[in-house]
Amino acid sequence: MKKIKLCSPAGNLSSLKEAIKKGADSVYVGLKGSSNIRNFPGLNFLPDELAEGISFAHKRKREVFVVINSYPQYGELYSCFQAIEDCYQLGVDGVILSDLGLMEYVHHHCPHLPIHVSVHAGACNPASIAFYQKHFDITTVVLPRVLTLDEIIEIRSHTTVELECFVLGILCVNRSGLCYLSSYLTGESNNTKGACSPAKHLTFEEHNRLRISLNGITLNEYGDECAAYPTPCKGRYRNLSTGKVEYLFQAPESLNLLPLLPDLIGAGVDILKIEGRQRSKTYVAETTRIVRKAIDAYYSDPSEFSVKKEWISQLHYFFEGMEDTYGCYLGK
Amino acid sequence: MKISLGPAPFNWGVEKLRQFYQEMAEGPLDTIFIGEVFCEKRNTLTIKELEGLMLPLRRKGKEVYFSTGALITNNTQWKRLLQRSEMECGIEANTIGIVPHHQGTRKIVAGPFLNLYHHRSVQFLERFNLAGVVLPFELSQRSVKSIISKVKTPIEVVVYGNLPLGVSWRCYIARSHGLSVKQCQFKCMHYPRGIIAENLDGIPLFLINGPYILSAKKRCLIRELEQLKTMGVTSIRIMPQYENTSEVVKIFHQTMNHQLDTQDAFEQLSSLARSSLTNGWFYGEAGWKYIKDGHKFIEEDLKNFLLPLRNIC
Repeated sequence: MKKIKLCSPAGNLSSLKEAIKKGADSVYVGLKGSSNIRNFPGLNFLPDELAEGISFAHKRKREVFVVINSYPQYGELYSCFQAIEDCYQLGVDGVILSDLGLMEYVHHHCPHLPIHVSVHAGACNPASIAFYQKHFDITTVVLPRVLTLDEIIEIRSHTTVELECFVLGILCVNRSGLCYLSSYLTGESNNTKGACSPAKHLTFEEHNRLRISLNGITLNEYGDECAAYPTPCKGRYRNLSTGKVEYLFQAPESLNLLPLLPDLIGAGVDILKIEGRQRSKTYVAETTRIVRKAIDAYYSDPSEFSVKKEWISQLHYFFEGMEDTYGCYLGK
Repeated sequence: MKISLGPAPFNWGVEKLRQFYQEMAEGPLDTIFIGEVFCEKRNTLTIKELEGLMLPLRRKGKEVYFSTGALITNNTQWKRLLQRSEMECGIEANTIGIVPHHQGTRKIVAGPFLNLYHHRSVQFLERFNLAGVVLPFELSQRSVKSIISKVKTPIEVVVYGNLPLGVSWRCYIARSHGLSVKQCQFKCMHYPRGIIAENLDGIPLFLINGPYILSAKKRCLIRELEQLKTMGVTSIRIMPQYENTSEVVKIFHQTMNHQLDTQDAFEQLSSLARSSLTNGWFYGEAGWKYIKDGHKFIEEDLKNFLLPLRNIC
């Protein structure tokens, strides 16, 4: 039986090594700069670090994919081409792209460099996947988090490309690649500059309660409850039709599809992906370890598979808001 | 420059839409885009109804396009899209898979949700003989200028209206009623202007409209009209409003033809808008801001307008 693969995030070299030690089949990383959608200070790889990471992974027969999934505006285009060239020279196992121009560049200039379609491209129907396959010979699609399990099954029946599905981590409730909330409030586009809710625009004021603002605009106020990373989608707003102040878009919660593991495998998903290149080495190690355990447990006896309580309690330690969600995988 | 009208963003129901497009047929619009872009559940108009909306517009010589959904996630939705795209009109593609489908048989405009952020992406799609490209809303004037200078396809820029800031699988209006999409009861019908969401300081930030979030403020590039024209923008897009759309179209038309002074036009639009106006993204600033002295930004921009490694780009 072909086993589902596990792809873990890594924001730096030590996370990459930890992910591989804990059982990831592949890791995905970003290069420093605005070429990827996790462009945070202190995160991501320099080319020589990437080279070391690739060598570490390849010696252990694991793969390294590089995320170049921003949509560059005119002045940023060259740095994305440069990032692609670096990846090609260093022998990465594939690049994860959103932008049509970048896909075309790789297809023409970097033969044999596999292209994965990023979640930010929103390839959420067979015709769109077929488009990327026909024109860029893509190998893998990271499925947008707007699909139900039934829709994934439908897609599977129409395509031969590898399907990759997020299993754990932050859930962008808006379709990735079409969310401009942070850009609207800060002027720094998530799509082009690569960071949602950049830390330099955040202000934390603590009086009786913790008040969090983005570029001077209040997003939320906390008492004792658990706070998520303050993005505009997880802010609290007043609905003027009801007068209620609430999480109008999304409560602080994390995607956890471990209980659906047999369904994802049954749906024909090829790769499970853990979100969180911006998270710590411990997060990467623990989430990788637990998902690996779950995958191995499933294949050792599919009929007896169940999610162990300890896995969930260990995962909760890392979850935003301590709440799990299935997103829309079981229905919208 | 031509004036176009984007697809109606709210769930107005067929009667209001009929009335609305009859009114639009009388105005100075050149091109009209019709279709439900974001919510496949409320995408319920039949082909007959859609053609009925298009008829008065065609009679007045308007060019009509059918705007596809941006989140087509299953075969039922895809089949419905294919049926509708057989209508005798152009197609605004908001999902990439539809682009090659009618190549050579229909005019295809690349919609703003295809995320064409630079000339290379536009050039790639030009092989499908695009009739136009609607650029993403957050592009700065530098990017718009750069794209126009390197592509053949006519470029359209959104100049007025509440801007889409996010689209989800979740319906935010249903959620505010404690309902899922499946149970939604088309609650959005009760909010033809959307629901305003204020932050904790009482600042209206967003409009909730079914599965998507719009800006509560309206973009207004009336002061930038001359600049857009000089840059080579071929078409300006106005987004439909529940009230006053005809007036807004008229103001843009008169200003473009120098029958109305820009400052007067700005003041008239401000009073019609029921919200403050924005142009921040156009100057590379936060989208919600309004930059009064736009020309100063442009001068500064020109000093920094260096395209690195032209041979590669």
